[in-house]
Amino acid sequence: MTSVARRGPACVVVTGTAALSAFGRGVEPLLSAALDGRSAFEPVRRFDVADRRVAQAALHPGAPVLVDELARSIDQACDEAGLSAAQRGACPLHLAVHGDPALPRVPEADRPAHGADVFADTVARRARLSGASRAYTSACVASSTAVADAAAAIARGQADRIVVAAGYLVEADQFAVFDAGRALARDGRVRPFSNGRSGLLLGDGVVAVVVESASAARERRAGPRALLSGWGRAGDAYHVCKPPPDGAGLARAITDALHRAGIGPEQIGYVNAHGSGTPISDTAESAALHRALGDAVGSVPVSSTKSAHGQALEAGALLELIVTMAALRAGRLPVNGGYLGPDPTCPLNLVLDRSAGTESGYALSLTMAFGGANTALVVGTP
Amino acid sequence: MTHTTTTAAVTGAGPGHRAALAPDAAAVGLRVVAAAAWPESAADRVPAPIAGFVVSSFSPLAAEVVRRCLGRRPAPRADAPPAVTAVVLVSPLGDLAGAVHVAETVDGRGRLGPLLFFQAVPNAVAGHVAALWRLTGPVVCVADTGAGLAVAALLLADRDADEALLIRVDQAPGAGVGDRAAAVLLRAHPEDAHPEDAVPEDADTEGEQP
Repeated sequence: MTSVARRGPACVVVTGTAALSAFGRGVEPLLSAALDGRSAFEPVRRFDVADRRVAQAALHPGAPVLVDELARSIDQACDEAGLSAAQRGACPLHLAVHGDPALPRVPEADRPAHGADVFADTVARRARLSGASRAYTSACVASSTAVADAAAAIARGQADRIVVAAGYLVEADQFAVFDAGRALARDGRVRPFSNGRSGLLLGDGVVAVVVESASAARERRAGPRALLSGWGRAGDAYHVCKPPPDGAGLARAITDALHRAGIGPEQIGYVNAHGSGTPISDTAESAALHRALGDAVGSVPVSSTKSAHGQALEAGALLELIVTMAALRAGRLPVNGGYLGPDPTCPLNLVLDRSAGTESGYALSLTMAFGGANTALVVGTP
Repeated sequence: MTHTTTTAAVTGAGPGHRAALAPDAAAVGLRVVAAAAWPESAADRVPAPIAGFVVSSFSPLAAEVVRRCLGRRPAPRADAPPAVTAVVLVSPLGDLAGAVHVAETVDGRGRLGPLLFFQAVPNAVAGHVAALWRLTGPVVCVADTGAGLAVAALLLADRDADEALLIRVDQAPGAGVGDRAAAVLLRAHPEDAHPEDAVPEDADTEGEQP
């Protein structure tokens, strides 16, 4: 496949990260679970699931509040990046969310004040960022799209740094519609690319990263956590919620991301796949990887960390990007958990060994969403 | 350095919905190829339903303004390759009627229909129009028009797409009276093409290293 994608000349890096997941606060407990292939799924007690077919999700303990956790994660990411108050105050925010969680239950007259744009402004204000915020609501690709847009703008010199944050905390409404759509795994486990997989499970994720030009980071002597080397997105033009069997849209996104990174498929040392655990989607993603990576697909290790932390919807792609960056830094690969055995429609080099390592400098993080939206992000070690 | 994608003044919330997207697009240097709105006349009362979408006017509104907009685009040259079209959907409140229906049903311990599964996100109707009109570019949903235009401009500049279909849907906060929507098909001005930005096959595209 060929690509006509282009980008601005500036190198883009990530200088700060923060995450909350079912494994607790911080990237380390999340990475540890992913490397072990340990899942966090348990019966939901946060809200009533008595009427649901499936009762499992991966939840952070207690009753976290989205706006509070987003502000906390942005704080932590900015602190890790070493940003001054003035530098923070100049940062725009790209926020990926389903919307203001309060919207459907506020009085009718109050609804216009509960848009996702207003919610993003509120988060930016709470986190002491600049007033330039925007909200992404593109389902599962919301946060990877927010990252791609931040990288593209920085590469073109339109901004020195942008905070990208994303949040989804499992709640009754989305749980109910996923259950009604029979999308949730009946056996209470997410089994990406595995024989016998039956669906996805939802999981908490609140994440923030500081995306920055390498020169701006260097000027303030900040050490990058990772390179954001390439990005690509493409649509399927196929179906409202099903991917095409040949994975053509995702393959084009991967090809564009590799092209922008200036690397070939053989240089990719790990793929954190979308790997939702649903039968059709995993098969299509496998086809996309074969189409985009060609002969290299047989040797590139692949896993889906959703088998550990679940599907965090609008925050999922950023949660997985953070795990991918941390795994590259650690030189170890997350295990594809929940695996029961091979599925002939998903012939991939899955990471099944807890001691699998990598010396490669690059990894891919992939996401597919309703509407045929696909994204691919290439990260590298600095 | 100024971030040029700040939340611009959100237009399109008033009666001049169709017209409002066009000047905003021009302000960020984009060319409007075609435009449409809902309502455009007193005859526009209820948008035509679309199969698989229930309960809410959100998706029918989006599909109808897209039908009108793309129906008005100039015919391409016979020798022109198919354009890659991005879909950028702007909606501050998303599918409000659908979200309220889900919340009321959950709170009342009622039974939800399976179609509400995919309809809960604005991507769903974006995917519907993308499949119907063969729009193979990126699909992006944002909450304000300024962000939508900035996203579209960057997608065109970086050749993620040849053109961008920007859709805005605003459901009335109440019972559906006053729903509005608009769509514009956008292209970059020819003089804004920057072939020197293309990534050379053998280049170190990082440009600089940390």
